[in-house]
Order: sequence, then structure tokens, then C-alpha cells
Amino acid sequence: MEAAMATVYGSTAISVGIILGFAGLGSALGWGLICSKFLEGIARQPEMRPQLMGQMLFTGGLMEAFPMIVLGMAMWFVFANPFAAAVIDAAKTAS
Amino acid sequence: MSFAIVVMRRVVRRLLIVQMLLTVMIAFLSFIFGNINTMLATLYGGSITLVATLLMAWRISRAGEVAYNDKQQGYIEIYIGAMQKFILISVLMAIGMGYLKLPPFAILMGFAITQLSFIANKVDTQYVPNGD
Repeated sequence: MEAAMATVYGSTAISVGIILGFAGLGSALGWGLICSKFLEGIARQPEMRPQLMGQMLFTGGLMEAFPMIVLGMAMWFVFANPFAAAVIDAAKTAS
Repeated sequence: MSFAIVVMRRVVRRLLIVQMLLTVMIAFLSFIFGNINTMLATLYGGSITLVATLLMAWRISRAGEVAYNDKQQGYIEIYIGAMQKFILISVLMAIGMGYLKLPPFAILMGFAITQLSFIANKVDTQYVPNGD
């Protein structure tokens, strides 16, 4: 039982690391693209700044929605591990 | 106050109203189909989106202000904002799931559904003298 739990926690920790890494990478790439275009736009047409700022908020929010949901899932695996609960339930059923 | 800030305030106000409406709606539905604990969890998830939106709006406003004079500083402001948002959401999720012991799936549902508000995309740049 303890060995199974250790395996579950270890695998979850590795998975969460990978998940957070990719979420951070996606978020960084998205922000890099969005803010470079935003600043280019301001430099080229300063009068468009109000429009661009509003659009950037929406685009940034939409782009970041998916990495943030993935981040939430990673927090779920860390703080309320559903796999560990399944192993405990299986052990209770077996005994 | 510059016109860009006035437009930004309009955008943020509209976005926050849509997010609040979505939060209340999902909380009501989760109360009907679940229980009070699920409702609190969805409210908590929606509140995380509201706080994150306010933080992002503040950082983008600052980036827009400083980008006039220093483009590099604008980049830095946006990246600091993105990092702050990432950390803020991690901490708030951890508090909700780990410390408050709210149902994780309901928190995620509340959070994910309020993110749909970004689809309600409208930037009102109409000039109104002495008004925002």
C-alpha cells in the first residue's frame, strides 16, 4: 500500500512539473508575441494606443485562459490528489 | 487622465461586469445541481478570474504609459504582470484546494467558465467630453 502511494505521489509530482513547465512555456510564448505586436503598434501609430490596449487585454486574457486552467489542474493534482484517493479507495475495497 | 486610460477603464468595467454575471450564474447552477460547498467553490473560482483581470489591466495600463518613452520598459512591465498573474493564480488555487478544502473541480469550473468573458470583446473608443 505504502509503495503504491509513493509511486502515485512520485508520478504525480513529475507530471505536475511537466504540466507547469509547458503551461509556463505556452504563456511566455503567447505574451511574447502579443506584447511585441502591441508595442510595435504603439510605436508605429501612437494614436491607436487606446484601441490597442483594450484589444491587448482581451487577447492576453483569452491566450492565458488555457495555461491558467492547466495551472489550476496542476494545483488540483498537488493539493487534492485524485489518483491517491482512487488508490486508497481500491485498497479499502480489497481489504 | 489620458484617453487611453479612459478607454481601458471602460474595457475593464465591461469585462468585470460580464465576469461577475458569469460567476453568479455558474454559482447559482452549481447550487441547484450540487450543494452549498460547490457553490462556494465556483464563487471562489470566479473571484480568482476577477482578481487576475484587475491585475492584468493595471499592468497593461502601466505598460502602455511607459511604452511611449521606453519600449524596453513596456516589455518589462508586461512580463512582470504575466509572472505576477501566474504566481497569484497558483497561490489562490492552492489556498482554495489545500487550505479551504473546497471541491477542486468546482473551483476549476468557476475559473474556466468566467474566462469565457474575454470573448465578449468590445473596445469602446468613442470620445465623451468630461466623462468616462
